[in-house]
Amino acid sequence: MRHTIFEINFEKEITSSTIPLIAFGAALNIVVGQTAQLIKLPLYLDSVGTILIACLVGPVAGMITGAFANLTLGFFFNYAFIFFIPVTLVIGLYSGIVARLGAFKKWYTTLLAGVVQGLLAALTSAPIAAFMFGGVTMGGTDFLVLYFRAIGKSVVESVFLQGLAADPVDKSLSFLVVYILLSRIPRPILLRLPGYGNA
Amino acid sequence: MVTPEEFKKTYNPLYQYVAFSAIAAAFFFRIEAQGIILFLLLLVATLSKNRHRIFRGFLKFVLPLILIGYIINGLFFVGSPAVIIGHLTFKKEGLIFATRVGLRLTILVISIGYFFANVDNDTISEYLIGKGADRRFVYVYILSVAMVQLLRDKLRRIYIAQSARGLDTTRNIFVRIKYLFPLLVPLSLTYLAESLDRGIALKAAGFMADKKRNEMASSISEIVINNRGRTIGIILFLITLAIAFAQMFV
Amino acid sequence: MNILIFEQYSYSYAPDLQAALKDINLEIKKDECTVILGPSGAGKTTFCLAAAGLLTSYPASVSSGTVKKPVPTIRTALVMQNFYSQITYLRNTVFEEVAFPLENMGLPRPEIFKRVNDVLSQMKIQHLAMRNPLELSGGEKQKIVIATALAQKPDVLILDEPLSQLDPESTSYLSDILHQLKGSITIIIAENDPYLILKIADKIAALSNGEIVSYGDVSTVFNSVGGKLVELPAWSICAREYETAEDGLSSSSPGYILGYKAALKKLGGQK
Repeated sequence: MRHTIFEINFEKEITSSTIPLIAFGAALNIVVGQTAQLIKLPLYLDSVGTILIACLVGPVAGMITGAFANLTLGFFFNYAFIFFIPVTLVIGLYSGIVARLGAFKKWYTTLLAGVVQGLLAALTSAPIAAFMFGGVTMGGTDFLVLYFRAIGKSVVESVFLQGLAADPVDKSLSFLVVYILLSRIPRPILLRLPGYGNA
Repeated sequence: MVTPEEFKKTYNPLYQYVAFSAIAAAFFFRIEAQGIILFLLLLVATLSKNRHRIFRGFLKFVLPLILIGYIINGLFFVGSPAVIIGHLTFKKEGLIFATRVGLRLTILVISIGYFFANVDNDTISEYLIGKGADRRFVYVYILSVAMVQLLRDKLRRIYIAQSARGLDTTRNIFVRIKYLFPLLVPLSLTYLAESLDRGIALKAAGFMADKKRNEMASSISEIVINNRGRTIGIILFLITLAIAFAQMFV
Repeated sequence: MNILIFEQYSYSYAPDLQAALKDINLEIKKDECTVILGPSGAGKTTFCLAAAGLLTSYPASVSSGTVKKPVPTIRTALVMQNFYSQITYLRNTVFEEVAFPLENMGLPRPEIFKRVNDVLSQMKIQHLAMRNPLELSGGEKQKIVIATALAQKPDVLILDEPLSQLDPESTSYLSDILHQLKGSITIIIAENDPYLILKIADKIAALSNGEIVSYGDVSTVFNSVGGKLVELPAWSICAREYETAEDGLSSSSPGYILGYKAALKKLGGQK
């Protein structure tokens, strides 16, 4: 059981059957963000596709989805997104593993897993934002970085603390969105997916 | 009657070596030299085709980041005052830090943009597969780009349909969060099912995920390498590396 | 000679779901056209996937029996019901899209060009050759998918409701193409269109709830599932008046129209 939960099998997860799913997940990451903008939500929700595919296929597929989502995002909007690929790898890996542990079976375990994901995302993105962007992030919470710098924190500390404030909210909401999506997938479709037991 | 000439694509490695050189300069050159590199890069980018693609993302996303970076780092870095504007004192070390970060980021974004603006996805993918890259990854990238367009079109149609059913974006945030699902659920389910079928279709088309292209016949696309461009690019890259190396001792 | 043999083949997508196919015993003969007839949910798509050897062992699926190819090198080509998903979008032009399976087969480049040009010409879609598949209409996409299958020159061509998105002119055109291919290639086609069935079917397998309830030539199957053949000016009138018609004409009468709505109804009701 332990072996299956933490099994990272590249060849099993990246097949001709799963390649279109990964591409769909990568595209969904971008389009969910646009959906939020269409209905004027102050959220980005940029990892829904990564988390969904990590749950439905596996952690390796989740990582690849995240990486290619940022690559595609870079192609469509801004090449600076490419530098955050390591963060998406962490999101994909973590989501796939917690999905196997049953995190997406109940809404409260989903919420908790999302909060932890947010902490991990903040931890991973802080050094990138500090080194590559001088502490300025892509989100609308730079005023938090300003505040933490004002009270004497270093660049990395400020970005990390800003991430701690923002990322758990965004990621737990993303996890909840995926939880709701999973509950809506018709059973005949779900049963065709490797991770059908995770939903 | 379609002939093989229609699928001859030219790949000029000069673009990739310009990007590599700029990236190497961004990480290893001193700040003053980076300024010169940026000037040259901007010149080259301005003269290239599809320059709007290079600068559009930069101006919309990266330039504001750099300006905010100047404000935050200029105000809160520990160091000696350099610029005073009203009650705000910008520190010299902070401005230097913001300049270093800004230069590096600009060079990276412009150089990557320069490469993608001058080489189309089709050519890149065929070139990479020809060089032995794993087809799975190349296909994921190409399919992702296509799927973004498909999902966007579908989203637009679903949005129009839902608006006709009363979707109102002027309502409060909790109502708008609820609106997310009538848009997202049909979009996701349609393309999830279609992606499962597309996996079957790829198998039906004989795509073997574990076989590399060079184990089979070459594709109908023929990539012609611009050798002069490759030679110039390699020389440029080696010069860049040499300057970076020399800087360590000067 | 048999080209495909189903031996007590059963398939279920999950143990707790109703079996999509139950104990299918069927021998498809070489160069024969077999029509799989049945209402929605009868198992036609699953049958087509099984015949093409593409019924993946999904994580929860359960299967028994075999689908055998007496000659292992027999090649199948499939046109799926959801043809949108059969456009790979891995290529920027229709020509490259049609050539994709041929590249995967390892054919020499000149052969690929010849086959694709020929099939685009045969399907009368040469004008679409350099167009981007993303920009095409549903009917055009369906024609490309059919062209892709034909370009592979398969031994068995399997089509799952291929006429669904085509306009009447294209439907008639595709029927003509299949009629031309009839006799030179084995065809398995899941379809309910009466014109097509009459034009090309050698045998019909009537599927109901995953089981073959009747197999044989056209009149045998329709008589066994309650269909009577009537001659009427239009199929829509036929469908309405079918249940009240008493006299039937033989299947050898030219231009007759099947009133099989009642037959389908009966198939759907069979347990």
